[in-house]
Amino acid sequence: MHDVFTTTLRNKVWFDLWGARQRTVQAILTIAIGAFAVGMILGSLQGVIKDTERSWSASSAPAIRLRVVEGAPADLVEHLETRPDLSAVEGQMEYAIKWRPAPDTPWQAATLVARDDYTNQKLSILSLESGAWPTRREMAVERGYPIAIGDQVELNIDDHVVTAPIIGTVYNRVTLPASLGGTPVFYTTRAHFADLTGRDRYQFLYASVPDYTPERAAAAAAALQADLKDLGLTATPASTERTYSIDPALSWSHDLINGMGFVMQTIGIVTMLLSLLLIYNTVNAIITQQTAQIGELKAIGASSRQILAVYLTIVATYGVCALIISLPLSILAANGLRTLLVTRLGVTPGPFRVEFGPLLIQAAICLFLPVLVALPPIFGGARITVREAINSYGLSGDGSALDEFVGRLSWLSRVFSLAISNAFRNWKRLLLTQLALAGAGVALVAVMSTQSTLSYASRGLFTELYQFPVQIDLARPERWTQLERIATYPGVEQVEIWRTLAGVVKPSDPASTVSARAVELNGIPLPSAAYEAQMVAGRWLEPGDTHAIVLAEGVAAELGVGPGDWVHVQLPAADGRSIWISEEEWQVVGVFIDPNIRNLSRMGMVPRDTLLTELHDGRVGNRVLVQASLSDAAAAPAFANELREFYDDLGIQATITQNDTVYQRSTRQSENLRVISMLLMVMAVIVAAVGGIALSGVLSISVLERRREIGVLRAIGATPRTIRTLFMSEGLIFGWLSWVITLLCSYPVAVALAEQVAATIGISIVFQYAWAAIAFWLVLASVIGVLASIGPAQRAIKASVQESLAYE
Amino acid sequence: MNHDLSSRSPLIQVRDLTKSYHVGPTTVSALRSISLQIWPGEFVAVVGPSGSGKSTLLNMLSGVDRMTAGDVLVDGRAVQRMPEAELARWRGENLGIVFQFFQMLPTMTLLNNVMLPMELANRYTRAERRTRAAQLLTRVGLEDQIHKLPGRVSGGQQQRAAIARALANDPPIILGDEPTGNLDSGSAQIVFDLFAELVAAGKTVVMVTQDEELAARMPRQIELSEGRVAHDQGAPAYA
Ligand SMILES: Nc1ncnc2c1ncn2[C@@H]1O[C@H](COP(=O)(O)OP(=O)(O)OP(=O)(O)O)[C@@H](O)[C@H]1O
Ligand SMILES: [Mg+2]
Repeated sequence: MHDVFTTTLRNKVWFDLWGARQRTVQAILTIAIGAFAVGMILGSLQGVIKDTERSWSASSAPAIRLRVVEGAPADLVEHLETRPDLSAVEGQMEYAIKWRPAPDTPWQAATLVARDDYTNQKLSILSLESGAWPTRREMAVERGYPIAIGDQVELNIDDHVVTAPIIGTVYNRVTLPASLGGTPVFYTTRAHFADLTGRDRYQFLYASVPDYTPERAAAAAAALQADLKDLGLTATPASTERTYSIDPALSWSHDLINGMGFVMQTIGIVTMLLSLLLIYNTVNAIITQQTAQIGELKAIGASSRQILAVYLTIVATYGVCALIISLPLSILAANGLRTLLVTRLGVTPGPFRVEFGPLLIQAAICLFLPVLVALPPIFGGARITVREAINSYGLSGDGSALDEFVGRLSWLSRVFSLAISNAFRNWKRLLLTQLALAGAGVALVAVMSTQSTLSYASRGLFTELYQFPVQIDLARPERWTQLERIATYPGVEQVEIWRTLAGVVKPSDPASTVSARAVELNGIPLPSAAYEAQMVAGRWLEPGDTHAIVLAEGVAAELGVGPGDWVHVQLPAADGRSIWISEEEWQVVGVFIDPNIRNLSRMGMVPRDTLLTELHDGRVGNRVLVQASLSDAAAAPAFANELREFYDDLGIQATITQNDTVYQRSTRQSENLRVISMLLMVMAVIVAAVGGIALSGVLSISVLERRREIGVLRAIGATPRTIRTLFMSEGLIFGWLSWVITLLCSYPVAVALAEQVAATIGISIVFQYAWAAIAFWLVLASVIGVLASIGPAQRAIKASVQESLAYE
Repeated sequence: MNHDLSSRSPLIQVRDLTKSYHVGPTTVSALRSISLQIWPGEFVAVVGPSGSGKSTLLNMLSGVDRMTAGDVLVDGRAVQRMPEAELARWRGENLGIVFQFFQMLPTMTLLNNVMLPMELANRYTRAERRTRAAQLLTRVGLEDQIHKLPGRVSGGQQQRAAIARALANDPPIILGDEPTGNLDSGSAQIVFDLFAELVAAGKTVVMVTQDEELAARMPRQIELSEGRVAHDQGAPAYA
């Protein structure tokens, strides 16, 4: 390289870097912001995946999860462990209880859990977060709830109240964390559990299979089920997917993480493309600006190779600086974002660390991409002939047909037409810049639309669907006449009674290979005042319908059925003796939107009267929907408590859940989705920042490029204000043009992104276009358009006219 | 401003004008305490070897650059005392500047280039600007090119258009920094004749030139050398 790089040329490199500091800073920032964004996004995504996987694998998740309706005796677990098709078996006792932190506070739902031996767990491992494992009288509690070691809480077990001292907190990685709306779990010993509940049986059986494959697990689960049946025990599916067996590698959060991953990868790729465009633009602008110099260098005998070496060194230097700046920042930011997201998912984040894969990508973005994209313009520049270069010595650039056209618009002010001409002067650059800017704008709008679609899915949609704010679920079906007495309670305006139960649904089509799904069937009166379905396809239930069923979008998709198709519906018997009380063909008449996360809710709606007939029930219901005049939505939970007490006095037992009210359900849903929402907002900020820096980079470089022109303008009498106006107009034209393109292109992109994200998370959505984002982009583009052009223009003005004229 | 040759007060007065550039630790003295006077209607050549300070002097006269010390009075006004915005307006109305490299705005037609100073100075009505610009371009022999972009005409034509632009606001003073320096001899001749015509029409023209032949055809030559006035020949008798 030595012969190529004479001292003089090395000086030229130095001069170009340091002498044009402002341009250097601009170029470095452009590269750095893109590299930073990509490094941070990919780094945190990988971190999130690793952290959640590590946490999940530490739990030894079971492949088979059964709920034994009658409870499995303790010795059965030991017996099952000897089966060759199972590698480990773990039993867990569970009982629904109520708890309260102090005697005069309301009861809340909770679960009492016992394991045989906490110090020797095999599956679905609970780890001790702090304190000690439960003892004879003392209990441990699931972490994340407002219950601390040393607290004395009251537990209500079948109306028998005990005080439990808390001595430990437990981390259960397998269930929904407190932050995502789980209910508190109190852990006790088997003996104490038996004392308190009068049962010493396992309600849940967890098992793993040797060398997991879905087939092996399903076979083992089926065999296990059959054996339990022989023992007179009924097993129901207990996985989050409501299946008997499940891939033990899939955590309950894998859908959320997939959703996050999708968003992050998409935005990562978009920012990478954006920064690519920007780097290309920047380098191209610099080379164009240096055309004259390249000519001069050639005139004095520099070879194309030497010129190439000079400019590649300059570009490589930009890249190295960008890497030095962006690397530590993105490592810090990736760790911060990872901690935020992982904590949000209820997982303990791992220690500060560096993910090497993303780091390499980032290094490549800084070191190779700039040089790569710089090659075409540099080659072009190096090929330029001396004559061409020298001829462009005056004010650089050529006019175009557009300029001639604009020139004929005599009503336009000359200054404004100059701004228009300048903005459109370099078509290629304009195109690339607009591509980058509009790309950022479209990404921003898409991301924010997805965000508002998700937030609508967890807020507005609930209140639109559920017309009645309160929903009381009962422990067992009760007579309508009894239930309707709630109408006399002050504040209650209207009451509707539903009959719900979990049925098993599969397509009637014998050719279908889809396995049956557990579906929460809601028998509703027709017409229903309490529920206003949003249909995706087909129609809603109508009075007179009998064996008609309307399925939630997600369930319909899983089953592969649509309006007109028939499904086979099995309804379990209430007594648990015979398994099915009804097995009938029902016709799907419609598909509706259920905003709940699919894994937490699979809904189907059927006519109540037909359902009751199939169940051989009389006029009974187990879900009461109540319309009430409430001061605000947040008052609903307290009101629901009052209604429950009213029923209690009538001897009707209501289940205590956190899901009595639309308010609670929508809150819980938004808690579930908050991690994605948060992520989307972070991505929006990144995209906006990249877009902002892009615009400001383009504008300030274009100002720098035209210092000589500024000099000429001032020499012929332009005041500083005129010059500012000129560049501001140009900045605004750039910004607004990108806004118009964004406006035109963003809708379909936003719909696609929102649908893809919703599909990955497993929810149905009603798309919400983020008009606010469009407005925000207009403001941002205008503000940046003004700021980014006025700064450099101001500096150019400050430089004396003579300097501007001499500026190279 | 309406001067005639008999007026006894100089139009441009330069007193002890000094200009130094600071390049790193070193100081370059481009002008060392220059004094001179130029009367209305003069046609002055500024000559001298490269680096002698010719451009610097012209830049001081036009207020395009700030001086280090001394005074420049144009028609009695101290150029250096005017704030930027006022200076720009003053320059637009009182000075026409012609550069060596034409410096026409490349995205504007010749007509618009000529109209621009009028608009910047906010002079004449819209219609007047148009007719006036067309007249000026006709005067420099470009009546067929007025709707062309600068890139589509020759260097000599660009320079003529630049002169038309310099005349846009009918300024009393025209400054040219080697306006013929980049032209072939034919074009240079045409441009020089234009300048001579302007002088005949009562304008005051100060022109830097390297071309000794052209300089010799001008009534007065100021020769600079190392930032000082080496010779000043042909100043009017009443000076
Ligand atoms: N911006 C600047 N910074 C530093 N020094 C400068 C600058 N402009 C001019 N000079 C120096 O001032 C001196 C006079 O320069 P000037 O441009 O006035 O010369 P000139 O007579 O016009 O020469 P030429 O005939 O080559 O145009 C020179 O030594 C030059 O190097
Ligand atoms: Mg000069």
